[in-house]
Amino acid sequence: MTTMTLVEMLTDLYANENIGAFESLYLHRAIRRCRGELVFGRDAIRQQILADLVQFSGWHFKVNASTEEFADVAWWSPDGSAVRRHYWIKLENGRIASEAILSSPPHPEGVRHHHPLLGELDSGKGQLGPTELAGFSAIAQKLHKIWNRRSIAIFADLYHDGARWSGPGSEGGTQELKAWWLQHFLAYPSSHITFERELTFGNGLALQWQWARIGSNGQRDRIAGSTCLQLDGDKIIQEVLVTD
Amino acid sequence: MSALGLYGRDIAELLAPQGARRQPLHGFDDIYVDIVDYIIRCTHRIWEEKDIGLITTHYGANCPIHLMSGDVSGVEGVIAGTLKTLNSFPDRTLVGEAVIWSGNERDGYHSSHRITSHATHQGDGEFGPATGRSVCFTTIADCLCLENRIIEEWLVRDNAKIARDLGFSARALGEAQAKLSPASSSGIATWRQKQMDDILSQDALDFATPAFPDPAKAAEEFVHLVFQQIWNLRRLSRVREVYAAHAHWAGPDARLLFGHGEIAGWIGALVSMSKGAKVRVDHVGSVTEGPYTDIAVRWSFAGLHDSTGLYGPASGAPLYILAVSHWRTLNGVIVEETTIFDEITLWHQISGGA
Repeated sequence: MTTMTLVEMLTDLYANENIGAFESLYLHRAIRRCRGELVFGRDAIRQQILADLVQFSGWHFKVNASTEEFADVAWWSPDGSAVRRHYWIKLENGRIASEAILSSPPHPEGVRHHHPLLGELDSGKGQLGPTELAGFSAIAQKLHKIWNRRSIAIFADLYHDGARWSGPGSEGGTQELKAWWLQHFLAYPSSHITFERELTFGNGLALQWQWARIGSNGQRDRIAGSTCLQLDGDKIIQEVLVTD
Repeated sequence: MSALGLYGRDIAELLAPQGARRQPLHGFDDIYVDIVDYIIRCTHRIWEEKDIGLITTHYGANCPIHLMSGDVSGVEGVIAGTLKTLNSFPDRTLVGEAVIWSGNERDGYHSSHRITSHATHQGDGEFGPATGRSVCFTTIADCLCLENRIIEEWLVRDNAKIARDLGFSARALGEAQAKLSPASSSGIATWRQKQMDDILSQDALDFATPAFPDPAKAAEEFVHLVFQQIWNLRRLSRVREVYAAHAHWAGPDARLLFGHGEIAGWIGALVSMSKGAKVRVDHVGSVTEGPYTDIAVRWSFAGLHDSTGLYGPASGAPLYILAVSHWRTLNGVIVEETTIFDEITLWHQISGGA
């Protein structure tokens, strides 16, 4: 059992390279979700952390935002490139029992699906389309309307004029954000994003979600994603969107 | 007095001396303090410490072990099977992910033990010559335990995942097995036919729309209604009542699903293989773990493979599935599921095996 916060845990592992503390941070049966797969057990997760230490040797580790069960972190290389990662964890008695890791840029090999996905993207809605999003904040409900109902007029209401945005393969302001979504709405005529978790902290809000979609070529996939927002009142002033 | 569960407990804590007995355990060795401790500790002692001989004091002499491929029985068979598996996978670690128990010391404790194993294929065995490859697979062992002995066991192992990790195809292995033990002209193996007859002889269900109870308060009723309504009455729409919209589902051979659409899709794909298929709930157990109620349900499926679908073109083969599902529930709905059955044996059946 540990009394460390998530940020302290990640800092200990990645800034201090304290792999010795690893056993007190993760339960032996911890499960990690990343790239569409499950990694079972603390020993297997430790291998991935060791691989991180090799990949990010000499890089600067920085925590951008965090709360008890979410962290937005980045590694900056000496030449200025960056890898950004969102951690979503579930604790049991102070140890990580499960976590989902989402990165930007996404892994070059993409998400692994060993089997074709089954069933509908959005269950039971038929021609009625997406219904209201229950159990999430007003901000999430507006994002749901943009993402799942294509209500792009809401962009102007939801984002501050000078909002900054970064996502897979794109970054900039609200024009770039809108262009990115429009591009994906066209590439995936059928798609649905299901919200998994929402956490608020200070003026921040983080959302974890899964994006099921069928491309215009008939290819179906589902990717996990995460959005970290900085808010000014009820408007978004900064958004970081990462996927696996 | 009750057993202490796995929630938030690390392996070092679980295997440390536990002190005084926490649960009535007549006839159990003094080292065990509750049924969870018994399951976790004896698994470690036998498989990881390699005290294989301990099986003689932990299994009934004629303990039947029910597999989807048929029954085996007897402690000697358990010892031989354990040794064979360890010869192939000597470094196997068995991480206990859940022990969902029910019962008592008089009638026996029933445990449903979900284990995910890591191992290296270092010796020749049931999966052929050693490949040196690493495998990771899940098993669920349902055990009836009385006076320190497992007196009946139902074992489901994700053999398809082992095959995948070794670079083989579950389908090809099942087809090969079917060639070695084909159904005779008079039909499939007697035991399998009897299981199927029993499952298919269940009375037809009246169509009604009962509300699902809170699984934390009425796990058994919840489980029976889920299988009655969603599986046997084909009311896939009710998936949306019993699963969280963001539920995660993990099944055989690294199949991972998410949300109502995919979970309903999987159930639909399985029952669509057979017009008259029926599912029977065989056992239910539940425990409270932190904020969750974890439910173990052992169930079996029977039907003729008369429709093309998830497992290829219609073969006409009689299908029998022995499965165990572990549900993690929160606020009245399932938020995580692990379902395990042996897809190699299913391919054996589809390919005309006995």
